Amino acid sequence: MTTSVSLTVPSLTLTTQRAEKVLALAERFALEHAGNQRQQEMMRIALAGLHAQVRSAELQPFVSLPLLVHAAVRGDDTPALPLAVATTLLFLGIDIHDDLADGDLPDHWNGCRTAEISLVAATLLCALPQLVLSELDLPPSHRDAMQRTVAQGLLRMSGGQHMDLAHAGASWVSARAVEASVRAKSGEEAALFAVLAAQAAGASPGLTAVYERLGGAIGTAGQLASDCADLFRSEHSKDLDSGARTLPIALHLERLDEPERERFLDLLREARTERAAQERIRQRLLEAGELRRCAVTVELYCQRARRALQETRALEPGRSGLGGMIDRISFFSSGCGQ
Amino acid sequence: MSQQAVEVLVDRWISDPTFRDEMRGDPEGTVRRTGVQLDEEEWATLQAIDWNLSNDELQSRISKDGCF
Repeated sequence: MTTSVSLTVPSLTLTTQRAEKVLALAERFALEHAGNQRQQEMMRIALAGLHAQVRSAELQPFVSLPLLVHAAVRGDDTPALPLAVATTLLFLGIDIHDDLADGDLPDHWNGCRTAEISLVAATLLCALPQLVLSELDLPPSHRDAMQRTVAQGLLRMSGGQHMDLAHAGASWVSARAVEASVRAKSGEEAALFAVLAAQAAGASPGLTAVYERLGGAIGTAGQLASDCADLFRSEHSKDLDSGARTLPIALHLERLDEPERERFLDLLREARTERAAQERIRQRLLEAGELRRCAVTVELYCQRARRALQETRALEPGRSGLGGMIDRISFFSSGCGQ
Repeated sequence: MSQQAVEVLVDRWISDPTFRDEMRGDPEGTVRRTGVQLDEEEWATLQAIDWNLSNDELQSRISKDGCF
């Protein structure tokens, strides 16, 4: 990533438009560094899929977190644009890997072999982001620290993914275990993006640790809220399709006695193929108060994030942007659900 | 942060209509009367929660899908 690329991008409001700019830079970087035409074609497919996802999602933490944290430390996010390219490529690799693990590949991969898709994910996780980081216009000691941060973060997330895979389709999993796996995957992912930005901005180790807590809380709250969206707002739940044990399901399983649990597990099995069973599960969880329990858990993480944000003494516009992200995740603040 | 204390309160809110009414009227006083000990973060969480929201309202407040 050459510095001149970042400097030609104007400072934009942190919106989907901003994410699309970063995506364009990421695509340019990936295509420039691809080894041959087939690798370019596969990268194009992956990035086009992410483009579609960005258009339909209201939060893109892989872009906004590094930019906002950098702005919070330095008062300016523009120097962090190349870093946002690295975090975007990392996110895409993680996302494809997740889809492969869940057997939930989006349609844009139709016609591609699994081995090739897996190779794209590996390249996005293990080659391109590291290359972007190695080209950042920063002191070598900062770049070394950031490479180490990426390796450590991926290692922790891999542990979280192991936990997640062990839970899929399980007849019983505790809500604590589900929460721990969300913290270890999505929490660590967002913490990684926040730490990289703090390091790039030259924050002290102490301040970097606070941003790590902030990112971890935002990532965990965001994933828990996103799991609620899949179950309670989407017409068709991908998590029920795949047998994922998200927090509302785990909370409910914990409260059932043995015969009731068996009946509910039967319903969960049915819901992997039957839409009507998915609706019955949704109603049952709502009546049992599981959405409310999840909303309160999300709020606990939002409060943790707000507290960390306060500790950072962040500069504007980063401070307002990060506060706005937390508000959009929370069920109880004025910015939620919009 | 121990989440158990907050979970105890939410469980009671769901299962006990009288507690629900009391929480709607005076959340802080009601929690103090239960004897449940909360730390600063948990108090902040309880104060942020709108105990009057129905299930439908909660559903409408779920943030639309984010890329997490």
